[in-house]
Amino acid sequence: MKTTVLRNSLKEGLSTTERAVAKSSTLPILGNILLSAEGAVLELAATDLEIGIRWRMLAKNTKPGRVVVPPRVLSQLLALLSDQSVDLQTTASQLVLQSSEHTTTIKTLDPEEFPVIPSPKEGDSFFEIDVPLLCQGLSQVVGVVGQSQARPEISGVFFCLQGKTLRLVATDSFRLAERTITVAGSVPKEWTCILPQKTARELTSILGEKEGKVRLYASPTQVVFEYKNEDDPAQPHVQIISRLIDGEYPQYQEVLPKDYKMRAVLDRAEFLNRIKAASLFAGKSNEVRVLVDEEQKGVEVSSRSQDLGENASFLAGEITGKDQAAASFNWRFLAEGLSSIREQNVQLGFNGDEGPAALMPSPAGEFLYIVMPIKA
Amino acid sequence: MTKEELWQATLAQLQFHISPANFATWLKNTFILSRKDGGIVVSVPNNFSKEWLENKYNKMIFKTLRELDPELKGVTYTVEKASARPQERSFSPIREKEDPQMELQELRVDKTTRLNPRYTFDNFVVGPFNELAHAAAWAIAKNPASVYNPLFVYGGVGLGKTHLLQALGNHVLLEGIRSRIKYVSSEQFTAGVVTAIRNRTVEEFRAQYREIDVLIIDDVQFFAGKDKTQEELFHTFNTLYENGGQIVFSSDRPPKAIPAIEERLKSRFEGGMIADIGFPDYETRLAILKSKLQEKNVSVEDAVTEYIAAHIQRNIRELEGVITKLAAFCLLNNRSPGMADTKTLLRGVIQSPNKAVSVKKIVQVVAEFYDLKEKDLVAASRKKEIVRPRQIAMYLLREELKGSYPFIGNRFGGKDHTTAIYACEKINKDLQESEMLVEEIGLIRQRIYSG
Repeated sequence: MKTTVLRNSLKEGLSTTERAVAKSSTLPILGNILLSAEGAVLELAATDLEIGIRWRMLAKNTKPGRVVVPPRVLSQLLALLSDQSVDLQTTASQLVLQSSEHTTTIKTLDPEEFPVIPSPKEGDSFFEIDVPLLCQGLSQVVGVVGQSQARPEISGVFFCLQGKTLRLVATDSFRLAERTITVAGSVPKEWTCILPQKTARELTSILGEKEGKVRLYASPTQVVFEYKNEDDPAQPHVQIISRLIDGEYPQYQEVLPKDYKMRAVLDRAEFLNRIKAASLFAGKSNEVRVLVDEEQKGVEVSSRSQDLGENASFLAGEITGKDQAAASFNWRFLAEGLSSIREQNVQLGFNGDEGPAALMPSPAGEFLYIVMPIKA
Repeated sequence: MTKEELWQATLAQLQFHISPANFATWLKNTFILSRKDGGIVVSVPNNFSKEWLENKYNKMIFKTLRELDPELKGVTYTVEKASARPQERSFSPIREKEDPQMELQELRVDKTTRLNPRYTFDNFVVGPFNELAHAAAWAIAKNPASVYNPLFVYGGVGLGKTHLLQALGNHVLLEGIRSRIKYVSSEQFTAGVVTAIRNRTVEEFRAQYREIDVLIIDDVQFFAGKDKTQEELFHTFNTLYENGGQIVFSSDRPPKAIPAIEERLKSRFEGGMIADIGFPDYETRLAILKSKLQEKNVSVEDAVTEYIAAHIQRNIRELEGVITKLAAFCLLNNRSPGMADTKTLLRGVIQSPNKAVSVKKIVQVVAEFYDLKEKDLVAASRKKEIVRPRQIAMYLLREELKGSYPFIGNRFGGKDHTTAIYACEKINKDLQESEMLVEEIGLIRQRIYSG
């Protein structure tokens, strides 16, 4: 193999594909990256057999070929170079990296041993989602995913496509976040899957800054996200392949409150601020009390710690409902919900200390966050 | 050679040609899915393994298999969804009350069985009032479809029927005695029938219910008057029963007392074991109270628990409500409630039942119980099916409200006071002879007070 690439593109590609490299595995080769040069493209690929990443960029290939190298040493070296482009060449079992000032030889592994990363075939059906929308939606719900080993079916983000509406849902059984995205173009009539939390996180960090559309190839056991920007050849062509979580997602719609006893429209940043202040005195249980008061036209947030002291604050807002109602919550849950909302104002749907409370943008938007109170 | 043996023999050979790391990575969790007409389908856990085996090891695997089975023509690989294979059920142990953070309840309910793992035999308090029902449920849980089939449990509101039924289901599931279990409320079953009829999917609906090992239907009294649902239930029952499936029903009254249920279904209900759950006695109430208080980590004086047990007699759910109140009191005031506090706290709960009972209420409940209209009871009809309920209503007015005979007579369309006297005496006499009547009146009383 012999090729010339832009140093920065290679660096970016390495740091992205490195995410899929297996940290420790029975198969040592999985701790490496496969470089393959063919046509006018250099492809970097890595996998830990749960998730796989392929990164393709333009390169001047003089001799096609493949090589497997440890990613860390290569990316660390690239960071120290100052050239615009670098030459890569293989000799027997070594990779020689040539720049104006450095000549580096890196030991390699046999490319024949590297796993074959499954890829969508020509003609496989797919649909497209707007990248910023998908990434924004995923980042809003991904933090809520349950960590329990005992319930694998909620350890991922639930994708539920119905008509032109795609719902991204996550829950850890104490709270639940749902983001609705409208999909344009041709889509399958109905489709659901449970995407592992790790893949969701990787997707948002890899594609977070990108524009355009991502193609989604779905099969019952795996999914491929393909990003290709044909207008801008400087952009890489990325494929993220992931296994899906097997299982049936709970029928979460049944959990969504049908109605609220009280509603409060509040300034989001101020509300978050009040909750953070109260959190200082929330103690180990993380418990803060929220009281929605119709007469006072506002919400009181308070907390009390036996050792530290107490805090109470009032935030005026638009209240609908009768009298007042109060409930205690884990402040982290409330704060995380509020942080996922970008709008200026939020609406708090309140059911007192028994039913779930809801946070949503105001005026109503495409995001819903449900949280259960702490039992008094 | 069976396909398992064949694959084992193949793996035994392959291990000499593949490095241990590769062997462990690529051939883990593989097995022969099917073997037909010289073609073998190998199931692999993921697409990576599939690609690898197809591209790298296919020749080797084919050669090895061919040596063992000369008939072989080809090998293909497929990714199986794990659920297609029997899989160990993972249940998290239930963290009861340790963590005050509440969960979104419905998520806990198992989607296929519809069982809520919160209900177990371990947290079911047994007393003389529910001993029989508990023993029957326990025997069934140990050994479904062999001892009591069907089991019919009945008893009043909030006495633990649902808990017992769910515990039975959970036990069977957790111990792995049977795997196909379904818990449905009568409402869900009815809704299922209606949807099936509307969508013309009756066949699928039937199939879904007839492939079950243990079917639990809660609150069957609501099937009253729903003929098509009853018919479906009847057929489901027969099929399940013939296939050796266990069936469990619950209701708020004995089968005989459920109005508007077809005779053939009624006789099915009565065909197995009928167990009732009565009112808990004082000692059991005390035991339940203490165990619940312990769960909630509330400590109160003995006098307080005794006071509560003595005053809340008819409903365990109500008892739980009181405990929640006590717990809230502790939390708010940072001390355990004394006798005086308890009396104030319970004022609403304890007094309300007596207030709620009125002549109107009794007449209404009796009418409803016998599926009559209130005005029938009051009218001058002497039809047998009306006379009896009317006598029972008179008896209850006398017993519960201490109404005078002329007053009672007057309430029922201006009848003479002697009619009322006769009715009360008649019922009193029958009560000594008929267990059935005792039960019926017990149930009516319970509805008057719980309702």
